[in-house]
Amino acid sequence: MIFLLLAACGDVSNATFDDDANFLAALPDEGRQTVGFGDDTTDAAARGLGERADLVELSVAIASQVNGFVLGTLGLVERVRELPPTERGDDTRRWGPYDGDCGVSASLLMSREFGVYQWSVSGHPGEGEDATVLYGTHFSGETVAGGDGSFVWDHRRWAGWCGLDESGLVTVDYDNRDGVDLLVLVEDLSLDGGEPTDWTYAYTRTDTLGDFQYRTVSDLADDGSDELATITVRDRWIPGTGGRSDAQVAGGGFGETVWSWSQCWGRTGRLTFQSDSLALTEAVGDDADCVFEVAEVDRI
Amino acid sequence: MIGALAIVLGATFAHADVQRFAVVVGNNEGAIGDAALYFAEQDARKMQGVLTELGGVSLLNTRSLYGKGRAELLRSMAELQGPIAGSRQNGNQTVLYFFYSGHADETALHLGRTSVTWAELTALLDKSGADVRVAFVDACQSGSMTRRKGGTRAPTFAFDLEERLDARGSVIVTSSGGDEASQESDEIGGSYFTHFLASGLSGGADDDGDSRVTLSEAYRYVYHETVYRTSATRSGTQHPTQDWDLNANGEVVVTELGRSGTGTLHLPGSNPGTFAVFDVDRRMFVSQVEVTVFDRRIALRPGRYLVQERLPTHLSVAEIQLAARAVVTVDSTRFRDGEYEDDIAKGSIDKSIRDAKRPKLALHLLVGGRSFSDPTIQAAYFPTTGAAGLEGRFGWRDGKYVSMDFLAGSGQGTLAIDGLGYPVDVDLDSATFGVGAGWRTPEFIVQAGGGLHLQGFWLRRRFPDGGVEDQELFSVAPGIVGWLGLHPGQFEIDVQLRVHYLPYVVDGRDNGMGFSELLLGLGYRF
Repeated sequence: MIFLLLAACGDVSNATFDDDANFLAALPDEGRQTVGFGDDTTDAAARGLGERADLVELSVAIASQVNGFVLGTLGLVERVRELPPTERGDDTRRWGPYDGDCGVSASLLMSREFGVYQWSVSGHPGEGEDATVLYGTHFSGETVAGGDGSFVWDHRRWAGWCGLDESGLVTVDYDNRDGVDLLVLVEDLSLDGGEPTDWTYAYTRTDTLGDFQYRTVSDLADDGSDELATITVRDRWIPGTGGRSDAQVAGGGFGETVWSWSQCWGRTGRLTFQSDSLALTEAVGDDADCVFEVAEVDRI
Repeated sequence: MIGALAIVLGATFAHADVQRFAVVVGNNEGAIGDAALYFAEQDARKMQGVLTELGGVSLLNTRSLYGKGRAELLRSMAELQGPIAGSRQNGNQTVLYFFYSGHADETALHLGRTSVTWAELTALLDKSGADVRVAFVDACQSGSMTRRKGGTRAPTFAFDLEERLDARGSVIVTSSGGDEASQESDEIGGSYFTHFLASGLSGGADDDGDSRVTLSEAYRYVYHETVYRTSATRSGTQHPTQDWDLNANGEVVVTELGRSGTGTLHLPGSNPGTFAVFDVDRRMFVSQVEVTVFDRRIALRPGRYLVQERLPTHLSVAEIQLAARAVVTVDSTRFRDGEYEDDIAKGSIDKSIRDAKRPKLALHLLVGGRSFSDPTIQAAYFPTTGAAGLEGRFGWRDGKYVSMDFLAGSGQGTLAIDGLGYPVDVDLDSATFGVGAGWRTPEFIVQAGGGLHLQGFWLRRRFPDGGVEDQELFSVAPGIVGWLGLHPGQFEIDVQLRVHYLPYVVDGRDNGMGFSELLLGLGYRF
């Protein structure tokens, strides 16, 4: 047998392709960098009037917007997953140029050093000069994919390439080492010519816990004044059990008053508890029946 | 044209009014289940020599079929019909000799995997148009042929035929009874029957010393000697039979000892004994003569001969150089003592046996596929590909075989690699050279076998999308092989499964890889 093993020789290996997979694993992934609610949470949002948990319904809608936006930014990255690298080095890969939306010709360049991957997507529409529109850094964990990192999306540059009257800068910090942990900061986001606003989202998902919080400012009073209300919503849920939503509104038309509003839903998604500090909504149930008894909105 | 030439040339060697023809058939191979014979084809060659050198049959009037089948026999018989008819039209009497040495059963001759029934053979002889048909059949249960015609076992009496030459009809002489085996002997290097038939026709049967051997003399000689020599064998006594359906007024002379192309060995009665005559040049016993008080003469082609008397303690050997028309007297002064170990005749026979024991070659065209057994290896490294090639298999009589083969494989596929969203197209080329050894079941219509197999293995991966260099591996892969097939006649159809271990560790996996080849083999056995 030893003789036979010695007699075997050659260079057959998938190491090159496996390393391609490592580089791809260091890129943000649609499945990890998006917000997901459990089915029962979604059920809660789908209940009929008087039964539904309004806050989580709002959160699901917000999450859908967040996801759409993140997916849009990652579209340029997702494209390369379907393509073999154009160039391979020991610690570098290049994909492209390949065609993106709006007639943009894009390239993805990656490099690796000590398990840290740096990457950037550059491109240009037509015959223009290359400019970077998306870039990030990824730190490997136990596996490459199971690490953490961040990436930045320059929406203003992209909107310029596409001829859109939009702006914004999106920064995403993620941590995949134990479930999914996301912190999304959106600055001066203006879509379709709207007023620029800032948004912040935090999202955590493990097998036993979901946590989604967002904060924005808005002219709730709709009185045209400069004083905007700060709205903070946090949804926490245990898959298959139920959850709790807590909201706080401060400033704007509320003056010094902070309005707190809480809702809980059960395993079937039905509203089990509701209370607000200004008695603006009908009181329902007892917060002792909630899966989370204490209101918390201060994660971000 | 050839037929006419045959008639002309044949006439110069035969009697002016008797023209002789011969079909000589020998086949070591029999039907499925028949054990292959060692000497059947050699016996046929021996008889062909006797008939052409002493029997007045020209080579042009002879059809010799060694290892041939039914089709060749039918064609040869048909070919002679024209010359025979032409000779008869010229006023000649025609004699057709048919000699067969090989396997048979109670219904048919076994010419390899083909057969000719006794009834067909009889009809072929009758259809030849020859005035006299003489058939010598040396085969197991050949007495079935005479029994079919109502023949009986011949008595051990002197057949006193003094008829005139203008005969009509047929004579059939068979080597054994309808339920008897015909036996070969390693000692004499041939079958008993043919050995004594050739000996008798060469002079051993010339009882009356007139240098002519008639059918009756030959039969009487071969009957006595065959019965005597087989009486102590394990297979039991073998009784030649004859069927005489001859309307003859003359003696049917088969051989004449004084023909111009032959010389004569003279064994004087002053030196009695049983002498075996071995043709050194052709490496075969050509005669066995018992000398009592009368002189015996044996006609032989020119050449070198050993005349041996086997004594209890040693051999007594005379070396003879015989020229055409010469008469060499082999008296006691020409003999010298020799050791059995130095017996050239025995050594030659042993060599003949060894030759007969040589393996048969079967060539197979192989078509099939090569597949790795581990699904992960198959999906990520080596997709299943087609393969085709050639295999040579040498099979011995006892069931052993060795084989050599070459297979080339080629195919395309897509590798499935974890974490990759794009397809990795790959072209696989491979070539293997294998050797094997094992055992197979006895030859029947269905045959199976199996054994060990060792393969030299080369494989190349090419990536048509570019960006990755071609990759190769070389290895030696041990394995096992099993096959099952249909073997009708010379053709073989096998389904073959090979399982190998490839001791190549890819990407740090714990062990090598297993792969298998499923092949359809279309073969021909030579």
